[in-house]
Amino acid sequence: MVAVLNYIGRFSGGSLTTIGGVTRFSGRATLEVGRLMVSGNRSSYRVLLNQIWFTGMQALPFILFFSTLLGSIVITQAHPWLQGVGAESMVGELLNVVVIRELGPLLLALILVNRSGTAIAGELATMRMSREIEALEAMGIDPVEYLIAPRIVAMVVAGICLTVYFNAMALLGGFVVASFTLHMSFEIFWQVMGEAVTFQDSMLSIFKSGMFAIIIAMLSCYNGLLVGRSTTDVPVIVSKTTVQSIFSVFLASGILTFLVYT
Amino acid sequence: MPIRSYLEFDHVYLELSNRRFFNDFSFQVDAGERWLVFGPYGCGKSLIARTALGLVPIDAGRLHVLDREVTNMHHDELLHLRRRIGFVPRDNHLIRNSSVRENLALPLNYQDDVSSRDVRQRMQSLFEFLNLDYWADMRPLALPPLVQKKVALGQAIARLPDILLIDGLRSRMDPVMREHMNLLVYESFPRWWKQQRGLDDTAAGPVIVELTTTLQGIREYVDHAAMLHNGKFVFQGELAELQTTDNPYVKQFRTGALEGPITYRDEGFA
Repeated sequence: MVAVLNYIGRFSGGSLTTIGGVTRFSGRATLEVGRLMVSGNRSSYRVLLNQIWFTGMQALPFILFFSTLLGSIVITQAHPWLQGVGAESMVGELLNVVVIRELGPLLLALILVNRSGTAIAGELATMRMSREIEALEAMGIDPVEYLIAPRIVAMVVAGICLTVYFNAMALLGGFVVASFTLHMSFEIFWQVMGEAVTFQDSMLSIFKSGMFAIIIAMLSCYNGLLVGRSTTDVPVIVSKTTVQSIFSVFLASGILTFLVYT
Repeated sequence: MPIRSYLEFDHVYLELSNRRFFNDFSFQVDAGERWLVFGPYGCGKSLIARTALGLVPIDAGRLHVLDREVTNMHHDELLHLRRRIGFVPRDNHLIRNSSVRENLALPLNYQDDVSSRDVRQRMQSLFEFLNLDYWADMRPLALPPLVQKKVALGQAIARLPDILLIDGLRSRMDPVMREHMNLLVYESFPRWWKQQRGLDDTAAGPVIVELTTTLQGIREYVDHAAMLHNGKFVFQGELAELQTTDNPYVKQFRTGALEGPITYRDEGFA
């Protein structure tokens, strides 16, 4: 019993320390993001463009595969039920609720965590271990300004753009299956989607993605900079970043959905 | 306004991981001086640079760099002070994901009140001075050791620093390489520095402090030498005195004798 209480105490203490650390770090990073937007210099912008290229552009084929598959799966699973009740027009509502409102931003966040969050945490941890970050400080360059702020901005920009792309491709996947199984024309599909997807749904989907991107970027950068001097710290940090990011993203998604749709 | 104190450690104490590195340590460097600080491995030579840059805070004493008290300096002030100091780390610590060109542009892009045109001109001058054109688009890990060191030196001198701190200039170099680096740092660099600053040849050059574990390849380029041991200087004098002094620390260090005041008992050697 004592051991269990001891574990709970240590776990709670550790969690609170992490939350406090991430909050302080986020405050500082937000200031630097502001500075980057107002008067960023060329080196920071270069890092920003590289990160947008890596997080956004290079992920496009990967996301195309997942998103079209998701849209196809949703309609494939639902079409016997839709045909049974004679409600093909529900295709739009179904895709809106499942893809645009919930799974689009959430699955995209999982992709960002596993593809970009881990890369950021691993890269920063390696830079910390090889003393590149100390070298930047010695040159009078704030690592948060040069390394962190561009990564946060890039993650948010890429996250939002990729969500629009993800949703569009998922709808396309859904349409392809619907056209075969429900014999739905593109005009009808376009019409039912237009009726189902509200402006609020689209904005919430984008807002969610932006928020998830901020959570992932902050946790990845914070953990990446925390690394010690042992090479085994890098995989530990990467794993910790993945777990914390997924947990935080699901929690945030649940809270947002509850707040908006109840 | 002329700088009065370039580097001044005044009765400084520093302990890290239960080990005393500076024990009432004092050291002063004035305008145009060139210092060679040597001592056994792990005696804290690198910490002279790292404390001067404010990367490691001192426990007690006073530390002035370029007329500014470094202790308790605000983060932004410290960043600005560091931009006036060039530092070449022992292992170079170049940004591995960036090319040579990007590595050299980095300090220039984070400089106060410098236009894009100035950055371009300085970059061109730096590339010509260090003869790095061939390597410009390569990543640091693809470079030979001598070129890596040149790039690290380029990063350190790009902003025409008032002080150049070099840790392990000749580490992992053969005698010919060492001589090339000696000439580059002590002959060519001060000339280029004066030219870039628009000074004539008679003006005082940059302050150079070299931190080293070996006396091999040391020539007459430096004016002063000091040996750090057990947290303070056990020898300070002109470079020429290194060969003639009876100081037991210097004699043992120079000859590599096992008998003498320098021991490695903590490391398990009798």
